[in-house]
Amino acid sequence: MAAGKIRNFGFGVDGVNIVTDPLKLKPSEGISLQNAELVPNEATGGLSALTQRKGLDALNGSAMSGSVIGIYNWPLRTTIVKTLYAAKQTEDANTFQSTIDGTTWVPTSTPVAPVTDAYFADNSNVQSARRFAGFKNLLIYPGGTYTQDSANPTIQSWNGTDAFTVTAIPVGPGDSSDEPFVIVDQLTIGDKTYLAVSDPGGGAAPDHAGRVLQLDMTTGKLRQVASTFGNDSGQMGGGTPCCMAYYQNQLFVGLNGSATTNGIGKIVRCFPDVDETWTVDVSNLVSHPVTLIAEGGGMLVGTRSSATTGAQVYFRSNSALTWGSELTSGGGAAGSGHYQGLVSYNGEVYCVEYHSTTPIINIKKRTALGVWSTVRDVATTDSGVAGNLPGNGIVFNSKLFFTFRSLTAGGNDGFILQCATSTWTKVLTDNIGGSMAILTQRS
Amino acid sequence: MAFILAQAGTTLYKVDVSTGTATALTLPTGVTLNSTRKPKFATLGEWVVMTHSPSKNLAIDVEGTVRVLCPQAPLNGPTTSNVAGGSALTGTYKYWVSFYVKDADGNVLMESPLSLPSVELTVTTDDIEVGELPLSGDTVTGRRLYRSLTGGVVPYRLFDVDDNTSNSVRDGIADTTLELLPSLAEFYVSPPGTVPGFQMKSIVEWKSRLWGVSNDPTLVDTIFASDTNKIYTWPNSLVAHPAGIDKEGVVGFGVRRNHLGFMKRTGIWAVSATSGGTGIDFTRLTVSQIAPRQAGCLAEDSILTINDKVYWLGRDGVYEWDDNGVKSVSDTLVAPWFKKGTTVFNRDRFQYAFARYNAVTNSYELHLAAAAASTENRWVSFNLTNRCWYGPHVTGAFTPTHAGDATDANGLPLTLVGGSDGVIYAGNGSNNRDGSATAIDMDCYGPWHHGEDPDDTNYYGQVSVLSRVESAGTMEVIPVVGRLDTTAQAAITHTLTTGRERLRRLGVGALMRLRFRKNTVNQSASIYGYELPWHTIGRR
Repeated sequence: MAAGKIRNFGFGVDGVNIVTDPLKLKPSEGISLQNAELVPNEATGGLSALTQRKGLDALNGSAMSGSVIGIYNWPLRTTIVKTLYAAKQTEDANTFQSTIDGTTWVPTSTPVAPVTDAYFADNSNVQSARRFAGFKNLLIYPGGTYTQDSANPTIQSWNGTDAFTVTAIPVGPGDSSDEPFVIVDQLTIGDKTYLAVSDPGGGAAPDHAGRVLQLDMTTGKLRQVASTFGNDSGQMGGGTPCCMAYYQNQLFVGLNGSATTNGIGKIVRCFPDVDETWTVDVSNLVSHPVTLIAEGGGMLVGTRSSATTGAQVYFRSNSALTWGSELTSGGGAAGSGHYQGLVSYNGEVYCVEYHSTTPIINIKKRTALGVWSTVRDVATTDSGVAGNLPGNGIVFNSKLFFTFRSLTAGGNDGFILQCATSTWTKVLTDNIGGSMAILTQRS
Repeated sequence: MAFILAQAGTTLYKVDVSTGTATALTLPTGVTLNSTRKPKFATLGEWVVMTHSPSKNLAIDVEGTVRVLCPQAPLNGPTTSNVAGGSALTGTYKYWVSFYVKDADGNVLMESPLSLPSVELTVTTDDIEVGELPLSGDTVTGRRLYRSLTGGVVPYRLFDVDDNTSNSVRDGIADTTLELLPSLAEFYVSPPGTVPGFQMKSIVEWKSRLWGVSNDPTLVDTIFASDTNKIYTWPNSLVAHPAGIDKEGVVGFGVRRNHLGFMKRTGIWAVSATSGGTGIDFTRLTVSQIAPRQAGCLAEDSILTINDKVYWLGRDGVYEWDDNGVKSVSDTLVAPWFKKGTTVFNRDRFQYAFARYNAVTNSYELHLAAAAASTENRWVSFNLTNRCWYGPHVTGAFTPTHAGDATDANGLPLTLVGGSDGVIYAGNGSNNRDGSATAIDMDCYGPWHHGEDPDDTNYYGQVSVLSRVESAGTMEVIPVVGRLDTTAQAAITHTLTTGRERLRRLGVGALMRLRFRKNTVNQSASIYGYELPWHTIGRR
């Protein structure tokens, strides 16, 4: 009589076999192995043991709308945090205020201090665009830690954690051998950042000296764009560069000559990678440009007031290529009148009208060609006073922000207004320097 | 953090793998997703390209901004007229226009093909007004103008008009100021799916290009390819001949390190490249038929590349393509699952099968419809380590509708199954359940045993079951003792906390088989083995 033991300690190891006839299956095979698997881990079964398959856990707690018909791995750096930075002046150790929602602002002292009003005193550069720039994962801005007239201005960067000095602006090749005064505007186009630099030297107003430099943030290469500004042969006269815009592949630059003569406002242009000289686009604006943007089928410039006429906003259309006045300030002549902070928001253009007497501090909105209206009387509604000079306008988190500078470098009476769905709110009162930029961080 | 892109219904979601938060992404104006056409994705240069499901091909950047992959080309060229009093232009010129999308820093992200050229205009020391600038129906940031040199016929980049509203611009830019070389935009070609109507039914990335095939019935054998590292211009195409012999044409792509397979129902075609390069030269590509009249692919979503080997579902089994060629991996063990007459799966729905890779078990997991079912409610696993099959598996928690694999926040692999309930489920979970409260029904039928001769009748004594020691729970052991058609005995309970347990005698019969079943939520089981004594009674 035959006898023995069935010993099957490899059941399932060889999986399902439904090809072989049932009497010839190996002990390690099965006919159906539903929800069973081999787990190469002794602690949870092991390779020679048949183990209940592991569970399917819901990944998303709240169901999406409809059947899932597509799943795709997305391991890219998809966490983007954008932070709006507003420059402070000299009140305390903090150098910037920052916010991620526009409402809650946090002071920080880690970034290198940015330039303050004092650096812009020469040639009346205070009323220039004075923009900072965001570039990839960096905030790029003129540092305010150099000793003016004895050291070169610097470009600083801030990535949210670390502060670096990118480069110093070298002494210009023009008729001055002295250190540059200050960087008065920045504009990032692609991987290049353009810097408008105010230099000492030049001639009598309005022919101040200056340069436009192109900074390649990838290579660190700094090169001059077209000719320098000044009153020498080969230089472009009319002022130091103070505001910039990129339009139809050309770099347009408004010039500040710090003169009150009526009708000498000048804008020049060039193809920045091609031209060696500037072409005068217009030279009879009411006064010197302060803010310049490309928008709405053309370009817009806001100027200062002249000795005889109020500040104006001009438009240059795509087709006419000439500058036509669209808006004249009711503040009248002189008195530090100017328009500042041109910015496009929701298909419309905004800027701030300022005049020191009265004072006038109005936020203006352009809704159509030549159609402007006052949307906020900052002097009346927000306690703006003479000296709360307007700074940058910027769009952040689908909201529009305008800065208004402190009355003094150490004062904390500057403020920031925010516009969301046509409602204006004062979101911060502090020691405000006027410049803003957005830092984008990817993690 | 890590994310996956998922389409549920007609919505595209970004799902945070760490938190499970699903956030709907905003589609470009006028673009909709189809809930019956599964989306196809590919990644190139930090862009995820999405086709088939959208009414227009889409591109998704790392911030989750969704744009059309390629703006539709202008329908008309611009008009031209001279503006007296200008300065720079003397000669004969013509113009082209394209649409583009730029980022906030002014970088061009995507650009359409050029319009037709304008009628030539001859001027003498005048400017030229370029009018009737075409307007894009897509969400674009502007229009790019191109111009010939005087008397020329090729476009040079002129300048950008950063809006989609203005009607005309004035040009007074001298020839000497234009870029030194003519623009390559002349050769920009839109991929299928740029214009609503036909879609790119499949898309992959290979050798730094995107490759796609249209569902246009006249182009199903034509493979389109983008420029190297450029997602929006697709000037290249190949044909997997013979064309027009199968209405489906190329079903999908099999991507290997140095080979790209074009999977048709009627066989497999491929192009090859050298191992050293990241790019390929189109002029040197030839399409070879590597598996004629066999091993064709029925289901695009069943195609999976694992360790430079491609797996897919054909009409009669699962195939593998590696350096040794194409072969079936199912014929020797589980062929009846896939061949005519199967009572396990619904072969009519093989075309809807989908697969995923399970890195923990190193398995190709293929989702199929059970016999007579109209959803892919079962799946089988091909273990790539021992090349054996497991399953069919099932879950009672949800109805699987799609699958994929991804990586978690630490770059570690996940295997994912999407359900008709709008939930994505991650496999290999530590909870011994599916979803929140559904038991995993482990149900295993073992082999038939006999003594020395299957014709003899045996006595089978007490069976000992050895299993992993669990903290709680029991398992059913269901014996069959007799012949192949004998009814199963009553279930015996094996206590899983014991690790080894001697159970009752099984009785008299010629053959013996054990079935193990564990179907309790939050409990698991591992079978180490079993043994039992037997002796022959005689031949009856």
